[in-house]
Amino acid sequence: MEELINIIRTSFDIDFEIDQNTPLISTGLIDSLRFAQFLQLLEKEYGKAINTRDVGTDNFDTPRQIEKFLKRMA
Amino acid sequence: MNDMVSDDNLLVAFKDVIARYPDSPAFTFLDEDLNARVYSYRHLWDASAEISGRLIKLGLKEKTPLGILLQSQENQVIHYLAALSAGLVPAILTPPNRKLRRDIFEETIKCLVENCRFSAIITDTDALGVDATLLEPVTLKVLQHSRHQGDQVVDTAILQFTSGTTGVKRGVQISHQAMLASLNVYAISLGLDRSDVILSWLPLYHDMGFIACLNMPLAFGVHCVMINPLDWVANPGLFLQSASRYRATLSWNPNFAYAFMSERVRPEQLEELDLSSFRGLVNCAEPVTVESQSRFKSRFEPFGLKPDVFRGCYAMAETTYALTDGCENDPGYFDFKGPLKSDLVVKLPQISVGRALPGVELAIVDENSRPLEDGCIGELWVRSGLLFSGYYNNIEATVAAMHLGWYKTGDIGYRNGEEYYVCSRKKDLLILNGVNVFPQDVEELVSAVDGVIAGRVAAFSQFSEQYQSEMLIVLAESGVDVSERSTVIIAIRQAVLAMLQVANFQVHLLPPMWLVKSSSGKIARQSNKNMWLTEQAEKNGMQ
Repeated sequence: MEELINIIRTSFDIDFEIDQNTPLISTGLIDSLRFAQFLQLLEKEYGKAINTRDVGTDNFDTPRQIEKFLKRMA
Repeated sequence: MNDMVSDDNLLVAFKDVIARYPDSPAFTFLDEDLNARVYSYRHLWDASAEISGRLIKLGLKEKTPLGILLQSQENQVIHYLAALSAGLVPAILTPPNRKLRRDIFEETIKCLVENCRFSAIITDTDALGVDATLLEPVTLKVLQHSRHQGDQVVDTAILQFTSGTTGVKRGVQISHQAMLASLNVYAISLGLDRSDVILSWLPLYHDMGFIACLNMPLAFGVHCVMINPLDWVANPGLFLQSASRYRATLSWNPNFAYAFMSERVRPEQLEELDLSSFRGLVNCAEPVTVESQSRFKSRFEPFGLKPDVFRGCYAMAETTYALTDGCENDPGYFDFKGPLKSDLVVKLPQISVGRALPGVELAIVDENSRPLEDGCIGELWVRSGLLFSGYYNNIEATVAAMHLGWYKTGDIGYRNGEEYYVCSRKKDLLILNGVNVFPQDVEELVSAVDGVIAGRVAAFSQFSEQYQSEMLIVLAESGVDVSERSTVIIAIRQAVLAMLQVANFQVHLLPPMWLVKSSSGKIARQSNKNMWLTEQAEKNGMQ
């Protein structure tokens, strides 16, 4: 989890504390123009293909949800 | 160019095209894997006729607004044509998407429905929670019935809800005459031909996509290839691959999109790419930068992109759409002279928006409404048959926008010879990724967030070199403990994103009494912006 949070913080220049429950998509912290890039980064890091259509604020908004999503794909 | 029928009804013009070119491709809708669904004009007409028959059967009152709140562009196009055929006034509304918080989307729709009495809304969004008749797409099964029948709108073919916000979304009423005149005059200037192929990823609920990529193809029998905006954002390479495959000749994009595509296209998507078919890439909807166009050119000229492919266009929903048109090889396209004198603090434009279209009178006026000479900076006013009929249900706003038959655009610019240059806004309006935003709406929204000191918020924009667009910056005063700061920032960000759907923005919390007010007691946006930028520059300087 810490690793994931670190990836997010450094990729998106977030200058305040975020935790596993911080919403990222619905806050635009991960903005729509960089969202695809973020998915590519995760794909590289975790070796899984993610379809943008499968992810949204209901299942991919917080680091906890993202981790759960990645685990489910395993 | 093909003659468009001179009848003063939009539908008559569309039907004439459908009758003349039944088997020509009208629209091609692409999915994220570039699988295509192609509609010929006949096919499109048949699909929409079935729906318009059902609309008529439902007995909806003629000339009442019909909301089209649908996810797919395919459905938006078919239902748009069906609504016109049934004698209704279509309004394509912004559908929700999975990136936005649902509750705030619902609030926006609720405000819209309170302001605009639709006869019905056709929607594939579940549980809207509004007091309006809701219909299922295609079958038009009544999902919910309301006793409100819809208010008739006079002198209006279509309604466009300009980007704006909760509570103050403005419905721009466009008459049949204005729409037909606008399409005709712009198409002539572009030299639009039936051999043209328009490529678009633009949403149809904004004027640029709605006019250039939906109404213009329908009026002239031109093929338009559409990519879903969400697919494009996720994979901008789709645009280039489709351009190559369909031999696209024309496309409309906001400035940031050119920079975005050049940066984000993947190398493997460039294989066998041929962009030589493009004869016009229109850069419109936000200030144009040389930088954005240069990035696009240097990335794609090796793939056949013509060197003088860019076109200027000055357009807005209140004038139906385009007021000017201009090519890169027009003398004066690049402005090396600049205005005679400028005390503006903004970056001056380097590129012209083009020349006034025939029938469009543009004037640059001073604060006393007096016309100014070449090279003098003033407000741009327009007088033309392309003007809107008014803001729906908002006579005050309509009256305020007009002066003796002239529409006061609120844009500041100058003219050199026949070329016009737009510098900035007089009215408080931010243009973010091609979307218009009133800063006072953002401030009001943020003021209401828990933890923010009400009334102590400033919203403004700053140009982002990276995105080649203005970026929204929100400064909000807050007295909360350090431990609660991220909660407040998150709440602000969620509210702003749900309202504006802008790609990128910054939110900063400041201590109480940081922001300054003007003598009239209002938060002084420009002074606060200057203070903030100075402080940031000092910080960066110290690093």
